[in-house]
Amino acid sequence: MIRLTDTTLTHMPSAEKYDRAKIFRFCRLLYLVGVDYIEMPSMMYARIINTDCRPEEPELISPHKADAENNDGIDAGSFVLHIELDEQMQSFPEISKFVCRSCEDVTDARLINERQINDIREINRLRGTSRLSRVRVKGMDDILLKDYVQVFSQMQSYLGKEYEFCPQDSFGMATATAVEWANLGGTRLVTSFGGIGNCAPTEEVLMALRINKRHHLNHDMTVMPQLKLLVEEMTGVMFSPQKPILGSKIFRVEAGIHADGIEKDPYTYEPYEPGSVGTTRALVVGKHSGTKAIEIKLSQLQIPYFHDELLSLLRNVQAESMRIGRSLTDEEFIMIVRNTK
Amino acid sequence: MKEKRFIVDTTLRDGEQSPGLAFSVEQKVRIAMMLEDLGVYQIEAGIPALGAAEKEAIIEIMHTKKHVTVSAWNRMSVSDINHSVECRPDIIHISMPVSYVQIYTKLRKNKKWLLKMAVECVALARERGCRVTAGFEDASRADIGFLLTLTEQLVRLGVEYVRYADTVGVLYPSRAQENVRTIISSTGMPVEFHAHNDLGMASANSIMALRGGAKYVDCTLLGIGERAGNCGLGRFLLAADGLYDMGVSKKKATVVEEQLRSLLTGSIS
Repeated sequence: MIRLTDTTLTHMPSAEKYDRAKIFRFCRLLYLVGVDYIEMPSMMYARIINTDCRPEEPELISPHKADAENNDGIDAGSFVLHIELDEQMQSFPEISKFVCRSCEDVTDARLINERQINDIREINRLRGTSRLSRVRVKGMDDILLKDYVQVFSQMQSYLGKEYEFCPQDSFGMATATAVEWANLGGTRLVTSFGGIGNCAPTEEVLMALRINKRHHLNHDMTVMPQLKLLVEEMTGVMFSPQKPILGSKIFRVEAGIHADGIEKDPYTYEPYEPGSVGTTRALVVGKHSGTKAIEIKLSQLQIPYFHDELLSLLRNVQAESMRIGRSLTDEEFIMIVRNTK
Repeated sequence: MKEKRFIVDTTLRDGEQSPGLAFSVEQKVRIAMMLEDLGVYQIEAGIPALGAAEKEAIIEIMHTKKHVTVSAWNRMSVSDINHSVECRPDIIHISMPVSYVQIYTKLRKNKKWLLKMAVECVALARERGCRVTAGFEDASRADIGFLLTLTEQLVRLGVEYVRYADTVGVLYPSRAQENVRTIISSTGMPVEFHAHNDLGMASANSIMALRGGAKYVDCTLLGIGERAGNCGLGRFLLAADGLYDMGVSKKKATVVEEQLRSLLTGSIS
């Protein structure tokens, strides 16, 4: 069973400014899409839980029953706190997982010792860590350029099967590294939403595992657009319209051959249903459209037409698209239809 | 010394198919010249069957270019190939839908028909004196046995290399490597790899295809393309540069990608 820890909240520099409700909502949405653990700085956890208010906290609930909108409670067992000193663990007796980069010799069973490995030559540094109960290996951005099967096997021999892996993304290969690691038997992955903080993007890893390993098929990824908006609001950074899973334009289709194929069966040109990630497909017309796409657009807009008009209409659409340097809006298309008739 | 491999840039074909983009003839020629200066091996310049403006752009690119190889993309159609021949590109690329969903659902044909049409179209282009490459559309969801049968036929017809396309971007790295390796070892046919970034793995899949023996990798500037885009040149070079000599400078690629971004302001944001 693959378990996923999302570290987005540890990479938000201004996290202290977010209100409690927003952070809880973010956590609930992450649980809904299939994240198992959420990591945050201990200071953030202390603030949102607020020890003075604990008696008034609503009943804690199981994360997988979490309702993103209505329930304020969340299972403390699903949080992982990022700490700087091992003494900080004492302040949070309800938490069973802590991550620390600088607690090298602490063997507390609750503590995950994070080790940065930037080069495979550094792997020998992991040899002495078997006495630690839990280890997270972070980095290895370029491992796919090496003999990664052998390297992962070596890591397993040093750390056992239960170590966590957080591939980093300096070479744009973190998702692929995570997937290959899981294919080779790795079970504990560490990611961040949208790849914030140079991690493998949570949403890409979840979808890749869903498609390739049928992982977490029962989870609800339709809340992805809500998560995206929330993260954009919290970070002030907008995701690209082409961003895998999250981009606003990834299910727009214009090319004639694709429009025709999708009309017959969306599976021909889509890796997964747009609805499964809470979005919809949209047909736009322009330079790359074919007569079939024009026909579909006319039907969608409920405009009556004759088949012998389609070719001249297509030529006019293509010419206008090239003139303005983009696809046409529905209004522009309607205007061309009027002028062509 | 790093092994030499080659970039096939498809900014002007698959990249431009990104909804919202529509290059003018002048823009296409300008981008082609930027790509030639950058040092890519091949420019996939467009789809002649799209119409007069597209053909004009490809003809102009052929007149303007110096050394770069220029190819034109075609469906498996006599009419498409005739349009391409008129543009006199260096290479005629013929795309062949090879997965069962493409053959049976989209084309509403069968494997026998596909093999027959593939042979006819390649033979036609070869009779016209053209160099031909073949594209296996949706190869990552196709039966590898069928791909091998088709490849063996294409070897006999003189096709220079085949493009293994992960059309919907669902491949993962070890499979990309394994499938490319299988085609090369079973048929001797050189392979070009074409990735899409739907799961964020285009760059890694392309690297692993090279490790499986692929000679060519398809990229687009800024990773533009259908849905989540293609394998972005700058990002790919970041990783590939550690293993292979792709003939293109990372630094120059970044500059050219920024030039394209300026050219397309509004269209890709």
